[in-house]
Amino acid sequence: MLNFILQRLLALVPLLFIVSLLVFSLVLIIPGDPAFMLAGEDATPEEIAAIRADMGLDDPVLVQYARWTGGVLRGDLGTSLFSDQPVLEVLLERLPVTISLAAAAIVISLLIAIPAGVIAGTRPGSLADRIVTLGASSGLAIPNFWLGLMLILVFAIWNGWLPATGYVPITEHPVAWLRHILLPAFTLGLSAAAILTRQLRGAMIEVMNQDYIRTARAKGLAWRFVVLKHGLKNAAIPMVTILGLQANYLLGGTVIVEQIFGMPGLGQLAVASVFTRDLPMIQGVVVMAVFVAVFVNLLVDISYGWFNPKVRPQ
Amino acid sequence: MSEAAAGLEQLGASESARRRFLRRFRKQRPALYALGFLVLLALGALFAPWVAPYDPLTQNLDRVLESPSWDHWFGTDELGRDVASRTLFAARISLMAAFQAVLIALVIGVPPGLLAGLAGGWVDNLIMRFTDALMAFPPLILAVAIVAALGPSLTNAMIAVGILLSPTFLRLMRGTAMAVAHETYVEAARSIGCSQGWIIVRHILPNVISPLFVQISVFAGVAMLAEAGLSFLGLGAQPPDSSWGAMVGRGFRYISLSPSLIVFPGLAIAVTVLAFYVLGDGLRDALGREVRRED
Repeated sequence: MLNFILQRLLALVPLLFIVSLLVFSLVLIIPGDPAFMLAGEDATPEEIAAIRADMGLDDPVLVQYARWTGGVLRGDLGTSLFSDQPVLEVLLERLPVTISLAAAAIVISLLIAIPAGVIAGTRPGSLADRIVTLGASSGLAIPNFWLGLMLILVFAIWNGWLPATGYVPITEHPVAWLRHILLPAFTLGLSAAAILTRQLRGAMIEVMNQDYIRTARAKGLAWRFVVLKHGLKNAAIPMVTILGLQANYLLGGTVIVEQIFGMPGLGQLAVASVFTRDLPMIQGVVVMAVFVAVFVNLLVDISYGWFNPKVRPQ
Repeated sequence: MSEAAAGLEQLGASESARRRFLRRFRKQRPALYALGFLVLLALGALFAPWVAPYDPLTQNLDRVLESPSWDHWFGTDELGRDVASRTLFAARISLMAAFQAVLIALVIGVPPGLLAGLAGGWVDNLIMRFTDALMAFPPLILAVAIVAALGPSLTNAMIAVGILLSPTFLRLMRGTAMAVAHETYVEAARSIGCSQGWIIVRHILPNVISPLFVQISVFAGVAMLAEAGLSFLGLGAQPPDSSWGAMVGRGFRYISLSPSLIVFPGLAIAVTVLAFYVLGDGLRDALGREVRRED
């Protein structure tokens, strides 16, 4: 098992190297003179010069890259062009908001997908199955920002049941946290729920046709027991992989959901930084997001190896 | 399968691939409806100046933020402009943007995919490592970062979306190229001196065209959602141009006064994206076993 984990960690080295190249090259694709573009239209020559010096834009590209990567490895993501704060400090302040939103979205998507997938997968072709399948397709097609606004309209503006915007840390007030996170987490989690439902439905149909299910039924086990113990348990294994893939999409989705619900997370920071042309901050957000996504996928890989010894190296 | 159907299926073995596809596609009811809807929408968008009941830019400050009525089916916006007409005109931008993003993804993804599949070895390895790295990014965050560097505009947003979608096309091309390159008929073509270009055009492209069409249809929906999201954030379509996503973004400010401002453009996005997905599913089923879903 240790070997397996080491192998996975080693495989990350070339991946992270290329990721660092891509994130760094964001500076290179800025059209025209980056210092001039980043300083904004009404910047003085001094401000432009300051940015140029600050980011070391006069050095050769390789030197710039080496300095930037060296900084990232030491935990120095540079300084915000907008607020002059260290980028890492701002990111760490906002990370818990984004993580708690994504985690809550995963919980909600599982709460929807497991019952829906089991119901549809054990009765393929039935009315319930068709409703679930149509619901899953619609869940994929509905834009999440639109769903978020509709939820705000119904639950916050018309009925006043839940707050429309804001965020309260779970450590401060768990109930207030839940009330604030419910709508955004549902907004973010619905498309993940749709994907998981489709996946689980397919896996359940396949598993329920296996011989061991027939045996379990033949020996007189209760239907519910067969479905949950023999069916769901086996059908759920591939869901772990899908969940890992979803982590990427959920992190991406926070960009929009945090904006709608006024949550001070990484996604909102990314969008705000576009308008303030704060490139070091955006690079920081991207590095942090990739780091979280890669870490989650590593955990998924390891847990997969744990559950399923066949994928471990011999 | 009934006997008659089995007979038909056997008959199908001798008919041309295109006719078999058309016969199977005609049976895909939902996909036919979806195609019909998309064609109508495209025509509506194309002939918007003649079809739309009002000019989308004409303001009427006496009638702002009205609810849907006989005069204004979808209501009016904060400047008294007709939301139905604006939704129809915005279809032009939304459809064009999705088309643009898919085209960019094809241009970025197809040639390196072919190269990776045909060259193999370190070239393949290098290209695939870059693809893996690209897929490690949370998609929308990468798109926002690219738009940040290039500057907010619809074209730049669609370049970003195109980059995000390209790895799937790349993998599809690579897989097909690799599989076909080792077929006996390709070896034979090569041994009689056919050029690489000839082999690509004559043997690889025909094999990849069906799965490519399925993917294009699904990705048109994905691109439309991504464009809508970016335009909603103000990073895509810029005024006076308006896409559906941008309309929802503007309507956000008046959500409590006039919900219809966001309801209709949002519904337009959802229904159109669903139509692209359903069409993709139908194409996949009609093309049969040779196409497997690439997610």
